[in-house]
Amino acid sequence: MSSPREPRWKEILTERLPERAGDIEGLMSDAPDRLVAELRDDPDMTRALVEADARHVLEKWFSPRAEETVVFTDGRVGAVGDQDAGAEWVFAGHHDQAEVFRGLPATGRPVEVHGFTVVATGTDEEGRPIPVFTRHIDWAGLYAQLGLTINWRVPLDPEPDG
Amino acid sequence: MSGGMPYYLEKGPVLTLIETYVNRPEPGKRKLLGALRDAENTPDSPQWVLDTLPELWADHAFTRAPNITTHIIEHWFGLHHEGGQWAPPDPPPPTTGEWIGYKGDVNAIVRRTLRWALEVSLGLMPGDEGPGRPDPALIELFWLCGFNWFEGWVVQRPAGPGSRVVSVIFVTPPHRGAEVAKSPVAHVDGTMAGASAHAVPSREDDYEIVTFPVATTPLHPPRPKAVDRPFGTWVVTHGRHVTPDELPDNTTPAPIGALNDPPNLAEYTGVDPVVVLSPSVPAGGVPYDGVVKVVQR
Repeated sequence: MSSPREPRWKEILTERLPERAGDIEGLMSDAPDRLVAELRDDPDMTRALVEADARHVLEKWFSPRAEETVVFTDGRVGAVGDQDAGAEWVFAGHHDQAEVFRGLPATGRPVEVHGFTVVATGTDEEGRPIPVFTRHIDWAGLYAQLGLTINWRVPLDPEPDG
Repeated sequence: MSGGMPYYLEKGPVLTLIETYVNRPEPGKRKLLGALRDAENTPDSPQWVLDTLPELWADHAFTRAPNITTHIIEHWFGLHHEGGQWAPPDPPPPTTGEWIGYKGDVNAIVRRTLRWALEVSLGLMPGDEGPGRPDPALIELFWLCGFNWFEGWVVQRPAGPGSRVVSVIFVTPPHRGAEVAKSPVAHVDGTMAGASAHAVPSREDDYEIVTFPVATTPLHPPRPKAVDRPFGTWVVTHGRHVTPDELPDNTTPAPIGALNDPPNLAEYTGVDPVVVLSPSVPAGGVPYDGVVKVVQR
C-alpha cells in the first residue's frame, strides 16, 4: 500500500532545503513565532518557504518554465517591519493546462507572475498560532499576458428618480 | 457618437440619420459607392466623411451638434487638422483617437465597411462597375462598444420575396469617458440630466417599456403600439445589475499553499424582474417613426 503523496509545498521545501525541511515543518506547527523570527535573519529559509507556498498553487495553473521556477529579487528577501519576513519573487511558467485557471482554454503562452509575500504569525480557524502568508500578486499583469483586458466602460448605478 | 452612450448597443440619432440618407433615392447608393471607391485612392484622407454626403451634415437636426464630423475624424479616426489638412498626430500617440487600449486604421475600417455594405446592397462585387440592382437592399447601422479592437460587420439576409436587409454593426473598443448603465430603466427625464456628467437612460423621446401583460394606459405622446412601431431597438435584460456588497480581498493572509483564487475583477448579478424596453433616442435608441428631430453633443 503506497503512502499518500505529500502536499506539493512540502515536496518543494524538501527539494530546496533537504536537511532542514523537517525542522522547518516542526517550527511551523509548534513554534510559528520562532519560525518567523528565524526567517527574518535567514534568507535561504525565507526563499524556500515563500517559493514552496507560491509554487504549491501556481503550478496547478501553469507548468514550470525554467530551471529556477521562482527567482527572487536581490536585496528584497528578509525582515519586513518589526516582526515579519518577506520576499519579492517572479514565477515563470507556461499556461498550457486547459480550464484550470478561471476556466480559460490553454493558451500555451509563457507567463511571469510577479509577487511579494509576507510571512507573519497568525491563527488557524481554531485559534492556534500558525504562520500565515500574505501574497501581493500582480494579477493585472498576468491577465495582460494572457490577452485579457478590463472592460473600460464604468458601470454606473441608476440615478435617483427625478 | 451621440451625446452619450449608456447602453452597450446604440443606434441613436446620428446613425439613424446616416442610414436615412444612405437609403434615400438621392444621391442613391450607386453614387455613394462610387464616392467611397474613389476615396480609397487617397487612403489616409478622411475627406470622404465630409464630401460623400454633404447634405447629411447640413440636416437641421445637426444644428446643436455642428462639429459632428470633426468628432468622427478626430475621436474615431485619430487624425488632427494641421496646416489645412487632416493628418496623424506627430509623434504618433500610443492609441488611436479616443479609443482605450487600441491602435488601428479606423478610417480605413469604417470606409471599407460602408463600401462593402453598399456593394452587398447593390449586388456588386469589388471592381464591378455595373449599375447594380435596381432595388438595392435597405442598410441599417448599429454600434456596439466595449470590445478589444475595432471591427465593422456587414450582415445580409433576406427580408421577404426578392428583398434583403444589410445590417452594419460597428464593434469598437471603449472610449475615454465611457460608461454603461447598470440598469436599462430610465429614472430621469434627460440623458445628460443626471447628477453626474455621464449619459444615463432617460425618459426622453421614444423611450418605451413593454409591460407583460400590456398596460392599458395610452402612450404619451401618442404613437403606434410597440409591435407596430416601424422602428425600435428593444433590450431584454434584468432591471438592474449589482456587484457584491464586499469585494474579495486578494491579499487575505492564509496558511501555506492556500493561495486565494485569482480575482475576477468584476462580478455582476442580474436582479429585479426582466424588462423589455426601447431606449430614448438621445440615449442611443431610435425614433419610432425614423425621424430624427435633433442631435445634441
